[in-house]
Amino acid sequence: MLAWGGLRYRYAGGSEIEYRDFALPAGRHLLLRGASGSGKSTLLALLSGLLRVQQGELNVAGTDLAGLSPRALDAWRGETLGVVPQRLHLSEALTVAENLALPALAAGQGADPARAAQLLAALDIAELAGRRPHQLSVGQAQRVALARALMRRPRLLLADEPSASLDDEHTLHLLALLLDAAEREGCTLVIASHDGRVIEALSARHDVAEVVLRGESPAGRSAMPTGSRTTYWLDEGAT
Amino acid sequence: MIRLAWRYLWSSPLTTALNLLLLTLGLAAVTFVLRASAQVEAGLKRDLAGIDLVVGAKGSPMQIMLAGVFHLDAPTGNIPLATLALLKQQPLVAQAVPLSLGDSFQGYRIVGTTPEYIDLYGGKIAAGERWTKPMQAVLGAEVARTSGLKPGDRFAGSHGLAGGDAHGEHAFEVVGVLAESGSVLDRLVLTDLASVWEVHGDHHEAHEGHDAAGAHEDEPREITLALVRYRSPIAAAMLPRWVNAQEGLQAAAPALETARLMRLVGAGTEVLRGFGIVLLAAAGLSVWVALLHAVRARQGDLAMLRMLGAPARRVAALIALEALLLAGLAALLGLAAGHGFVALLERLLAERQSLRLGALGLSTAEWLVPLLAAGLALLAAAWPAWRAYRLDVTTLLQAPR
Repeated sequence: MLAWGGLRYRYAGGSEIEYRDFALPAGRHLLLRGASGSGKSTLLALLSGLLRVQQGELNVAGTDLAGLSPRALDAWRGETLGVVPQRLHLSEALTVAENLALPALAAGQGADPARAAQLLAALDIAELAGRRPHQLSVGQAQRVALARALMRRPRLLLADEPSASLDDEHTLHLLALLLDAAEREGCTLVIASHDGRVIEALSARHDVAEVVLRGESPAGRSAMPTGSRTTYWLDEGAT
Repeated sequence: MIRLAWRYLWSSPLTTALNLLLLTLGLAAVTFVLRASAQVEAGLKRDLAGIDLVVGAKGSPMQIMLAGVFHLDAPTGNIPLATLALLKQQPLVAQAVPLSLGDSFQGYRIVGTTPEYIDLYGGKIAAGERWTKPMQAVLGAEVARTSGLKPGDRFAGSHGLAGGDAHGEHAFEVVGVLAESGSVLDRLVLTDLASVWEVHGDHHEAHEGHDAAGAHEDEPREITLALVRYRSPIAAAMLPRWVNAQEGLQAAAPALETARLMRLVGAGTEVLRGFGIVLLAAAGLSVWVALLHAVRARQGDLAMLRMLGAPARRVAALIALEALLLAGLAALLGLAAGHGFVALLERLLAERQSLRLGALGLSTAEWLVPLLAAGLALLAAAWPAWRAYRLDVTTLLQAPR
């Protein structure tokens, strides 16, 4: 589902980051750990096709992203990836139902109201379809963002720092929602976080692999496995 | 996409309403100028009807042209009927049609002439027939409509062009009504030359010093004006000079006088056009600022669209589409408002029994209005759309709440 090898990225300033080879075993989800500056953002941008692979291979859901043009990457992202970003970015100009139509509109397709209704019902927020984002609680907004991410039946569900600004109860609830949704929709969940609560909650699960990115990006250089859980990190100063 | 752009457009209703108002006013001014000037010009051309020269008593050529062709001004005086014969004898003259003015009916001018005058405008009889003897009248379509007169009815004219004492003892009999032609014929009462002499022959007995086209039986006959068509273009260089050399006669070339009139009207048109362009420039600037602000305020939404798979060009197109929707709406409203202003002008002119403007419908030049609006919208949207195209999606989606 997710693998990379010889993956390097050179920034505009000339510095470079290298990720140690990695493959996510089938049927497992991924927790991507790393503090600010660890290269996590770059890896997420590469995974979502927002940055082009300059060197090495990056295979996501059976597609080698290095071989795709920017235009093809856009189409691939819409078809394959569901994203719950750090800021939810629900459009205030639109109702919840209209926000759920955005993925189809982004791909130049017609809206799928039946799918939206199904997801809203599954997430217990069917009654919110006509509301505007500012009329939602934080938890409700998280669910709407999750529904939007699932609209096009993604194969990879990517959540970036999903617990930022949430209290403990909401954090655990959201993690459960994400894992349930991934199970129900049959997609792989990738959670990028450096929140101790998230790490603790997911560490207890055997279906979640973990990658730890360490080192000051872009000085960080590699990733390697440790222990029974697949943990990777970037060694400071390694080449 | 259109629906999304529409929703985004109205997510800032006050800003959008202000921009819409500015664009609409600018486009309405441009529409009004285009339509009104085209209609006035067409109206003038229609009334010129191939008349090359108007001959009247010494005075202002503009006044002669306005009185003789458009029936908008008082004539400069009368000329001898013998002038008509003199003009017809000139080899360069193909046709000379006499007009005798002096009376009116409910504000519409009574014109003593010959049936040639109807033919000059290609006028058709809608009811009844042409006059065959004095004191019979053929009404223009507008006159018949507003007065309610029909063939067989009788009416009396009033002395003077603006209405005065009634010639109650000399009633005209309506023998025909002209079909609507959109020309000056619509607002005239046509009768035989001799009718005017008959009315004023008696009238003179009661009102000494009267200067209209009438004359006593024992005095030489007079007419007010003669409309001349040239046999050859050379006449334009020779005939006016010859006419002006005759004692008491003044030539007025409608083409030249109309051009002079349009230049006078044109100054006002230019001011209005300039005003419209200033409004449009202000509207364009306002739309530009609004779109730039919208891109900045909505950059998270736009970045999300990119993340959801929208190509950069589609996100940029969304911004352009917003501007185009605004422009489209403004073009519709501007055209409607422009037409409304022209309709008001037309009503005003009709009330004054002046020039007739055209009916509804888009003239060729008016297709420029939506094009102008679209061009302005795209110009205003270009930079904001480019900013949307170049959004740093990664950074925007990671920004803390």
